[in-house]
Amino acid sequence: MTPILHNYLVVGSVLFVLGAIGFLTRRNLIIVVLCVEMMLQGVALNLVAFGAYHRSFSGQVFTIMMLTVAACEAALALALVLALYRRQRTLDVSVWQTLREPEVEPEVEETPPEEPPPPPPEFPRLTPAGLEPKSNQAEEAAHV
Amino acid sequence: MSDLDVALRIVPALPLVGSILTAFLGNRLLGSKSHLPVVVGLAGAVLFSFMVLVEAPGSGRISTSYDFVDLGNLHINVVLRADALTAMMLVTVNLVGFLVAVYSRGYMAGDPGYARYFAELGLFVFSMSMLVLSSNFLLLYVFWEAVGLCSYLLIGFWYERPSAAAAARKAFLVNRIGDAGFLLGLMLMWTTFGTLDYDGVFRQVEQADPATLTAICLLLFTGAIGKSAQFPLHVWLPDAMEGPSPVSALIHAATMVTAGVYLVARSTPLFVASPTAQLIVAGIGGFTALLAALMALTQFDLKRVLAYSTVSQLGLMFLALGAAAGQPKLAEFAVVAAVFHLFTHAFFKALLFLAAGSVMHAMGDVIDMRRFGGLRRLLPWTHALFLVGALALAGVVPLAGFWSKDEILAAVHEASHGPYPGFFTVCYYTAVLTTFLTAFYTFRAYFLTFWGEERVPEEAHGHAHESGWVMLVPMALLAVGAALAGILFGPTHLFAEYLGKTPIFATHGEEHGLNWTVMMTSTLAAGVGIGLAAWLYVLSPSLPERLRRSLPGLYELSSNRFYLDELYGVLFVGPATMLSNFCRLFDQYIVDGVVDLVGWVPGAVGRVFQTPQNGLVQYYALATTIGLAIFLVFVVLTLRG
Amino acid sequence: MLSPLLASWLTSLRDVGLVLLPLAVGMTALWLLLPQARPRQVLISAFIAGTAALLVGGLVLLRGTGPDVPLLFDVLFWVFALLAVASGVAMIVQRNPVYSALWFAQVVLSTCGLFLLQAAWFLAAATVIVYAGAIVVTFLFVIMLAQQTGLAPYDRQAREPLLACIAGFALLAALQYAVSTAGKTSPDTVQVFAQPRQLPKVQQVLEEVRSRVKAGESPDDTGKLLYLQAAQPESFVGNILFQLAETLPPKERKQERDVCEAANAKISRARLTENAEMMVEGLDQLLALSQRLELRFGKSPLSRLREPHVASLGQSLYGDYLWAVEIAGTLLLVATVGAIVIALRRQEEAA
Repeated sequence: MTPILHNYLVVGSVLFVLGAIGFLTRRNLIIVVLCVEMMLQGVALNLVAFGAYHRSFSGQVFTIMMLTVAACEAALALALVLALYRRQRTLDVSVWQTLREPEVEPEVEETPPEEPPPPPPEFPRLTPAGLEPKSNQAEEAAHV
Repeated sequence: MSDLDVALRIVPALPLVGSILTAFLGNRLLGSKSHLPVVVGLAGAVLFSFMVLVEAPGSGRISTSYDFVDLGNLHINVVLRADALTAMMLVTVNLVGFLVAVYSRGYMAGDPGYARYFAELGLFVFSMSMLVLSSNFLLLYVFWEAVGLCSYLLIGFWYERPSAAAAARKAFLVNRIGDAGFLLGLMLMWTTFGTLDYDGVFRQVEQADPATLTAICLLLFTGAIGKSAQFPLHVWLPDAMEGPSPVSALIHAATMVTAGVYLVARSTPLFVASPTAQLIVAGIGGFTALLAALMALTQFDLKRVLAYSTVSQLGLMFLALGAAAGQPKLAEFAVVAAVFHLFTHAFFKALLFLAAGSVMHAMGDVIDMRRFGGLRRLLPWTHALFLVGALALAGVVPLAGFWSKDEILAAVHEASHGPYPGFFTVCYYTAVLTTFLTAFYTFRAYFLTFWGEERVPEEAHGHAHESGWVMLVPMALLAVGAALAGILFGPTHLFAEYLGKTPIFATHGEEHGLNWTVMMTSTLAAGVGIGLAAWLYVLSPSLPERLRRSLPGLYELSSNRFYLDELYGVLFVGPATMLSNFCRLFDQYIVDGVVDLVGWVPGAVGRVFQTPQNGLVQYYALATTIGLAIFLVFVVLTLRG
Repeated sequence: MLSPLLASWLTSLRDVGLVLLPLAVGMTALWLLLPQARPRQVLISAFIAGTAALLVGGLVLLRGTGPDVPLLFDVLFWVFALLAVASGVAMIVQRNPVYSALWFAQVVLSTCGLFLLQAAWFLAAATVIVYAGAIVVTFLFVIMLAQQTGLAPYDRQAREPLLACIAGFALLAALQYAVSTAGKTSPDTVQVFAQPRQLPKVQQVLEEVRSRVKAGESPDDTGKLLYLQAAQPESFVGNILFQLAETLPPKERKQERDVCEAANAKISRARLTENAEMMVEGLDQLLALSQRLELRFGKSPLSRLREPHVASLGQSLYGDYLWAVEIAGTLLLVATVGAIVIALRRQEEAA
């Protein structure tokens, strides 16, 4: 196995596992779906690397198919996320645990302590420059 | 197919059809008319069985219906057989069955189980008909069990009563012991003769080993002991009186209990070839006759008195059946005597039970003779009919019991001139003593019930009354039989001639004239018995009490039925209960424990794996991730080999 | 005395340890970075992550890169790879979903760079358009539709970060183990696929056999030399050339395959009949083919970049995989309809 293929495979697997960890840990529905997309990216990298290794276009064709499926999946997943959001007005995954066994206690998430509000954004301010315009009164007075 | 073939099939078929109709339509459609199919069927069966009676004896006809068992060289067909013995039994069964069914229409009216009662009654008559019609021992055994089942069902007819349920169970279990012996006998017979057909077996009797033959006879006799309530398996019959009175009359007096007598009579060729077996039959019969008569002396339950009397009379029949020991020439006479007594006994004992049922009906289901008395004015018809039955049972000239019992005594007397004079002399005097006791206890019951001061229990609610015609007419017909059956067939030898045509008797003995000595003896015994009963219970009613005080041991012994039930309880029931308790505990804690464990394990595993099922997809994905890692490592390791 | 099995186990244990160490360090950093109830220790985490990166770099130096990879490719690869992994980490640890989506776009762009290095030009462009252009934008729209003001509690609190990191570590370790041992798997699967770098060896063998046959040696005996590995049918030089011809663009593919098949048939017939003339003829044909292939593939990966990739990809896509393309198109249509149906606000809901 050429080192170059090996390296691509390593990067692909790292992306895949990072996506998996994100899928496991994040509670925001949208981020969960994003993580799935990242896992798909890892897989796509693997396919392309193998395709190049075998000098075959099959890998790329397969990746194109995957791209198609990923697009479908993203569209459907986001539609579902929207539908779910409309139901509960939250993106929290923990809301959706009604499929648990009846005997099992529902998982209650500990609410993290309230963070201090972020400091108000500092917008750049231009230092005052040039002459201060004359007051209208003086002008009016001059007219008069 | 001749007329006889048709008749042979119709006789059992009619009660069966009636029974099935009643069983399926009874509760919904027929209601209080549930008796109709069975009564009509039985009436037809009576007519056809008379036809069989007329046509059968000459033919010894065998009529195959269909193959029942066809295994290897074991061919058992449902073969109906018509000969004199069968025809006689058929007439008895169907006639008494019909009369009892008519009587039951009045007796059972209004009972919630009315339809069930008639369905079971029809089933019983069918089974009993098939029992006597069957042409091989296996079929006989099948219907032997079927009548046992009907008996069980009808004893436990009022199953909500604990005593009735217990009595039914007792009857069933005690019968099982006898039936097990019967079954073993059949197996031994099969291995010895290779066939279970009557004719096939009887043809090979000559070649058989005497010891094996004796064993077969004794095993068959075990079955007879159970079914016919002989010592030591007699304990179920008195308890069986928990069933309705007509059932007691039909099954536990007239027909089913005589199946044992029928079996031994049917197997005459076997028994004739084994004097040992015959001696044992006679011995047990005689002993039972005396023992049951002694027990009957002190009972206060009217139906129990009659039940012990039945046991006693059956004992006399067995005594007669065994009387031909060592004298093959005597066999025909002895067997005819036994079957003749069976025939007459069916009439007068059924009559007595029906009369007792009539008394019970009037007394609000009270049957204890201490609680009523002097009923002869209140129930004049019942009184008269009971008197006829009692006289017949006691053996008073010229009623039926006299002639048949006389023949038994004559046969035993004859036997005492044979190779076993001592044994049969004892038997003879036992029989005479039994005759005396029979007369005594029968009239004791009669006097206690119908004479003396008029007393009626509260349960009758003050409207104790004579039974209706529907009950009285069957009783009257039975009374006619009880009165005339003896004198018509006995001294005229009609019965003996007819039965003699049965192909079970190898040698025909000489005509037996009337034995005047025996007749005088038995009449004397009966007369003394009746006189003693009249003296004790009518003329000086305080005497029995004083007698009881002066002979406490004997009295207690008799009234407690010689403590045989208790003895069985200690000897058999106790250990069996202990064993079954052990089995129950074993089943409960070991077997059930294992089964419960098998059921518990999936539940426990499920509970363990239920915890992660919290509905959050991410936990599932976590498990998937770890599983994927393990799987990958496994695959790579496998590929590396 | 160690048994060979145990020795091999120890060797692989050392290899595994070398891979596991940077993985473990990287996972620790990730765990510290994931949103949790306690305040984030960015400095410590960054330090640990840097350590992990250094360890990976050390590992790479230790192993060395391939001989035929030019430095430019190597550098570009490492830049894109580092960018992709770092953006991935940033994406999953970001508490603000908008930032997450933007980091994801960064991941996609870096991946596209890697695609370019693999000569997948069309794919790189398509991915940028589809992912960065369409999907990420859709995500941002949905975030806008559903986002609450400020950081929601569920964004500030990750679920079971430690457990997830351990599971991820286990999976990644297993994947690395699989990737690194795949080349050493059972000998049957080794060298199933022909490589262009085998071409010089192939030519050398062909020429040697040709000269020997011409010198009068038996074609059948010398024919045995035509196997790169003794008695391995798949290492027959004719087969290697055939497999390489298979990877050509469709137009040339057919022609070269036919040539190769004819030559192979000729050689096997010549070996059977001991026909030296025919043997030389076949060998000449194969030699010519191998020279054409060498020209075609070139000696460096750079030469591949000069090939008409998009055209070849299109031929493959609409030639070999036409049905799959049609089905994928149908799938897209169905998904569009489905997404509209699901996301559509229903009348009663709106009311």
